[in-house]
Amino acid sequence: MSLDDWILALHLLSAFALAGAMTMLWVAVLVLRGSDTPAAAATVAPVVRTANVAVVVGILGTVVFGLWLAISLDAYHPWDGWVIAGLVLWAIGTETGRRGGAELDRAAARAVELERAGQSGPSAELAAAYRSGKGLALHAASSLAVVLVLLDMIWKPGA
Amino acid sequence: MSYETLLYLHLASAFLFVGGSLAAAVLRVAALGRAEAREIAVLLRAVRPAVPLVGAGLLGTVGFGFGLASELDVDYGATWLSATFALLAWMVVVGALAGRQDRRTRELAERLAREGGSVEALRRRLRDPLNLALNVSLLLATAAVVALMVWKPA
Repeated sequence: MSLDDWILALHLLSAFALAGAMTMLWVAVLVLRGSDTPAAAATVAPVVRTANVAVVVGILGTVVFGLWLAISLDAYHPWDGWVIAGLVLWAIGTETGRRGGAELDRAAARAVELERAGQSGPSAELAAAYRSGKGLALHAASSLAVVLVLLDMIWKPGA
Repeated sequence: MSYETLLYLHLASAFLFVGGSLAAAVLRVAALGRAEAREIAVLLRAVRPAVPLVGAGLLGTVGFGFGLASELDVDYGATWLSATFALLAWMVVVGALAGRQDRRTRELAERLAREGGSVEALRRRLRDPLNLALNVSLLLATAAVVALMVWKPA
């Protein structure tokens, strides 16, 4: 295998890490939407922690190895329209994902506060935080960006 | 279907399959570290949304993978493809067995969370060495299939 083959393999594995993380976060979001107790946040915390690590590996790996390939392979260039479109979508996905994650963190922090205050029962405030429309919209936007990046990478419009 | 469409659907299915499998594995491992039936029940119930993702992902990966192999005239007897088929068969059989055991464990956790009682039997079920080995083998098989698809050795 050539160096480029290895870079392509690492690019693909990073994409698997990113897509795996997005799926894990969707599972966490869906579980929280059906809950209203502080314990729910603690319950999904391991999933969110694992997903956060995989997101960082995925977003860094896809862009670094992707750009490396665009520079290394004669057929492609970093200034190709589809590569730039991919980078823009990647940036949109990263930022919307970061903001969606912040919404999730806020709800989790409030759950910890309530738990520490001895209020471990159902809470209307927490239910509203878990069902945040803004958080859901941001997570959906981030996932849509990932889907569009995949479309862009496969069809390479203009290449 | 064009090559691009098949590749897109194959990759999207593989992403769903791997993502769902990872989510289920993380939730199951998290359940191992919990002491109360209520917490274990919530974690095992959370595995349920991941199950259709794993099933649909696996079907899509295999179905569109066949389409791709046919489009690219790949030799079905190639070592990497034969190894992948063997691993997929293992995942289907073991996944069904482990999934049934996990469902019973979840039902027990839900019953204990509702009615109370000793969690010893539940903890024993969660730590059952055979079930743990089957689940670990599923994760290893998933990683091996991804590696085979990416590197296509020999």
